[in-house]
Amino acid sequence: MKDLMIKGSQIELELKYILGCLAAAITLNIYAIISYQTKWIEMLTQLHVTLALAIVFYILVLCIRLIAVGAKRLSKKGN
Amino acid sequence: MKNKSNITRREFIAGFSAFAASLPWISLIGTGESSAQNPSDRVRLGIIGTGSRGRVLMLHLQQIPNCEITAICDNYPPNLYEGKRITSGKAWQTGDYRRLLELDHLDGVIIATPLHLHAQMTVDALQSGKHVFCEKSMALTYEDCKKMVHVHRESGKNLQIGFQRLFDLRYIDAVERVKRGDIGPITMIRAYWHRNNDWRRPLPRPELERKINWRLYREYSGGLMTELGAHQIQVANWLLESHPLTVTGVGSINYWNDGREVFDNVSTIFSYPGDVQCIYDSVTSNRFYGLEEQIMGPKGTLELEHGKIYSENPPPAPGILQLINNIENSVFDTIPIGGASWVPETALEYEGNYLINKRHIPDSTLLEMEAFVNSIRNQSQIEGIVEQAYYASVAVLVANESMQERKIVHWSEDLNI
Repeated sequence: MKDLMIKGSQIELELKYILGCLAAAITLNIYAIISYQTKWIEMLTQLHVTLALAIVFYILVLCIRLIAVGAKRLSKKGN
Repeated sequence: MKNKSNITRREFIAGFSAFAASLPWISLIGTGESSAQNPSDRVRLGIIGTGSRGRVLMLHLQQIPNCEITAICDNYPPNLYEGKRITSGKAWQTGDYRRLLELDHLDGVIIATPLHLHAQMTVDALQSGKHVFCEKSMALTYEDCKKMVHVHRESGKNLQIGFQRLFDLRYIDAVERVKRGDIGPITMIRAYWHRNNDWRRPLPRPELERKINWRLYREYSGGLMTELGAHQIQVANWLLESHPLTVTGVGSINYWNDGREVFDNVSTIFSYPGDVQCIYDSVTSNRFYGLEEQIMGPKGTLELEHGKIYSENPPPAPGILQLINNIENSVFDTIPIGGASWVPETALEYEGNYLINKRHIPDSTLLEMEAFVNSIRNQSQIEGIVEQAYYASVAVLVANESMQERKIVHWSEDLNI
């Protein structure tokens, strides 16, 4: 069986994506609080929703990246 | 040493002391502990009727300090035997309640017999100098209900009827919320009690049918209205501070066609002052909705059996959930092309708030027993409690009259006490 090598730079890249998704989810929560005029305490009380949303965003981004990588490989084969 | 549950219970009841002015019986619950230590304050009771309900009351009485069941009575030997077992054989026994009433040492009696026997037994007990706790409903006829009240007033002895919701702390809290205007003026009450069973008890011998299944025959019972509805109509009277002005209803036997005489389903409307209606129904062929009293006003709804209050304007959902919901709706909802769009007005899905946010609320039957024992110790009638019982008991008799005669029955001035 082939050993998988994950480079430090790859881990760093994934962490950046995760943090980006988390930041996007938090921003969305802030936007929702402002636009629906609800309480700022929801930054804490709705943390579970924010985290779940961040995971959803990360999975979506992952799918887009995988499609992009697949498309790139296909175009290379075609050339 | 006092255990934790007792402390919680006292604290609980202490919290309701502010209501004592409007609900005098509150002051008589959970207060008997100090006087209960004094041997001269010992309360000795006799039990008339040791059937299933009588035995429940006996078990509660045994939890009350310095209260003793010294005599029991039942004319059905298996019930008398069960009663004897509960008192470990210590209580004096008889099959004739008149012999029990001759016992001088008894301070009071508990009557838990079929409805048609309540009036005569209560009158005899009061006239023999005993304080009386009689199970609900009061009696089978208007005249008997009135007679019980008159003899109670003449005798000077205490009378209490088993409407235990008067002692349920959730109901007491609800009454205060209504008075404070938390749900606005009451505009409608909807109450129901749904069961799915034939209400029959097994018979050791066929000739005992009427004795054991007395609830099914009009000679002894008022059926669903007196056995179940009385509790809920008492709550409606209590909250609306009045008896109904008119009652209309329909009852029938549409499922249990087994020779019974009382209706197996009833649908009634009790009209109160201010044109407020209480819609009450009871069935014995479906238990999906169980039992409930729903008290509705323009600002909120109370569900008393669940002990909950629901605001008409529930707090909004968190912003993030509203945003997600709106996005979801804009993506997946169909767009109406023509004609009026209509959203079904189904019930709000909102959990509401508990009236009393505690897990263990003291049992209301235990509290009503305590109040009775303490009223004997204090030698004082609980103010207003007989009137509550009387107007609820009579209201359900009016409902039965309406259903049997198939007409709207107006509350007669003669029924007032």
